[in-house]
Formats: sequence, C-alpha cells, structure tokens
Amino acid sequence: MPIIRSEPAPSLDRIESARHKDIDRDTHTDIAFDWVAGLNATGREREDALRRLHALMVRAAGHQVWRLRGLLADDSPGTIEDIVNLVADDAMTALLGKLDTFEGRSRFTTWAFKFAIYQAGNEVRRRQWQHRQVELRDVATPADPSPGPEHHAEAGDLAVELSRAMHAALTPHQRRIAVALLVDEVPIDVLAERLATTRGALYKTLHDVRSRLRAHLVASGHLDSQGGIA
Amino acid sequence: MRCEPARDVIEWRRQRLIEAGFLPVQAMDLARDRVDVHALMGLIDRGCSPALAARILVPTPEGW
Amino acid sequence: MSGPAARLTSQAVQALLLDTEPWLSCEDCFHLLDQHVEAVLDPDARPDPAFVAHLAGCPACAEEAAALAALIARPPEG
Repeated sequence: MPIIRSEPAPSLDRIESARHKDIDRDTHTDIAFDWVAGLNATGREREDALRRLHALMVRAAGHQVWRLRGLLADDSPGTIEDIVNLVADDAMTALLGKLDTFEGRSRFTTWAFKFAIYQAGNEVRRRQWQHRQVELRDVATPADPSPGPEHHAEAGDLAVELSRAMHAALTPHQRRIAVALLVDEVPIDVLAERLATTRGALYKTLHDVRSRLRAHLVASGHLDSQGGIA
Repeated sequence: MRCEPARDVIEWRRQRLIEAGFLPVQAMDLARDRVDVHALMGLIDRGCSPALAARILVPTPEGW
Repeated sequence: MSGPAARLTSQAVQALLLDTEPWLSCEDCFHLLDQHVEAVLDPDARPDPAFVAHLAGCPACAEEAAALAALIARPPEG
C-alpha cells in the first residue's frame, strides 16, 4: 500500500532543527574569519580555510534545497544529502574560480552563500524537470478557433490585443521563448540548459520582448504612456 | 561537475534544430556539441539560413 | 513546431507586460546579489531600482535573493 505523506517526515524536521543550532553557533566565528587570507594561503592554513569554506557551502546548499524540497519527487533524507553534497562541491569550485572578484562590499559569508544557493536552485529545478516535456510553442493568433468557454473567461480584450502584438512585434523565436518562460512557466535555467545557452541570454530576450510589446501597445493606444491599461 | 548533457536533451535539441530547417546530420552535430541553440534561432530569426547561422557560431576552416 | 499554440492567461498577460527597466542582466544581478541583499535587510538603505526591477521580472533570481536574505537574516537562537 503506498504511503501518502502530506508533511515532511519527522526525521527531516529533527535534522533541520539540529542544523539550525549548529549554524547559529558557527555564524559569528565564520563572519570574523579572514577568508581571503586563508584561501590565498598555502599548506595547512589553506586546507583549514577550504574545509571551513566547504562547511559554508554545505550550510547554504542545505538551506536552499530544504526551501525547495517541495519541487523534488524524492525528498528522502538520503536524496537531500546527496543533492546538498553535490551542490556544495560545485559551488565551491565556482567560488574558488571567482575568488578574485570578491570586493568586500558585503560579508564574505554572504558573498559565498550565494554560490551555493545558485547551484542548489539549478540542481533542484533540473531534477524537477528532467522527465518533463519542454515545448517551444507559439502563441495562438486571435483568429484561431476558440477551444471553449474558459478561453473567453480568461482572455479579455487585452489578452487578444497582446496576442496580436506578439505576432506583429516579435520574431517567431522570441514568441516561443516568451511562451515557454511566461505561459508554460519553464524555469529559465531549465530552458537555458535545454537550449545550451545561458540564463542571461534568455532574460535579455525576455526583456526585449517586454519592451517591444509595451511599446507596441502604447502605440496602438491599448496602454497609456505609463504602461497602464488605457 | 556535470559536462555531458543527457541523451534526451541532445535529442530534444536535434528535433528543435530540424524544425528550424537544419539538416538532420548537422542538427545532431550542433546538438551534441552544445552549440547555443538560442543564438542559432536568433540568427535565423534575423534572416540567416541555417547553414549560415551554423557557420557564424561554429567557424571552421572547412565550413559546413 | 512542437505543441499546440498557447492561449494567454491573465497571469501571462501581466508577466508579458511587466516593465523591467532599468536593465540589469542576470549575471550582474548575481554579481551584486550579496551586497544588495545585505542592503535590503538594512532598514535605512534605499533599494536599487534596477535590482528591484530585475527581481520582479526574473523568478529564478528573485528566489535566490529571497533564499539568501532568509539565510543571513536568521536570528541566533538563545
């Protein structure tokens, strides 16, 4: 008989509670540590700094994987631990490659945490979508036959005009990227991996799409100059 | 770190490239070699032929 | 092309017409994430408009900012 569980297993909560206590005890010493000197040192001093850095990566990775655990089909403690360790290693590699970009505008720990949080989000979403179909579909033209009453309930005049604007102002690929990201809600890093591109390149396309559509609808009188509905 | 894309991701890219007008063999090479499909599609949007788009992003002495 | 043509929901309409000016790339957002999240947690600091606009338009970056803020803002237990 399948086990249906609506709340995390108690063991995960106990693990998380214990982890929080460890985190709070270590926070002050981590903030005070001279990370840049330690990581640029040699020998045992560097080894110690690397060990402490890895612990930071594990902490931040665990934090983010825990936040996003609802996206995972398998959130068992073993799987969570595997993901956290994988992410921490990847994050550490990424951070060490960019150590010379740390400018001291924030605490080193805050700067370091973001590498693990970034990798953790990418990994969780990758697993969430690894067996899901990603389509690059176009937006329907307003002349297409309506599939049913729900279309009229949702669309409204602005949606119809926006569909027209998408066909008038955007290229075919721009439309498909916009649909994938904003209609089908494919995560931007998942789509970037499928297309062998970067999150930034897709966001640039999305930014251009939004600018073109706003300009088109302002010109047609459907939006005012401030971008509100006319 | 993971370097090799999953086989189904390669197949997904190959299908998208074929739909965009690339020849199947070229589509497979581009998909497997992690050539930026988003950039390829952007060039095609701007009027490049698939062959020219591939040559721009993957310049080789022999060309395609 | 793959899949049936998409219909626009009201949520998609809002997302498509979002004003994400001034421009900030995902790469620059990541580069600035730590200092901006620390600034957001400072009640006297003024948020950077480009950073705020980017987070409104990029759910992935917004999630990372929220996670980082939650991690560094956690109050120490007694």
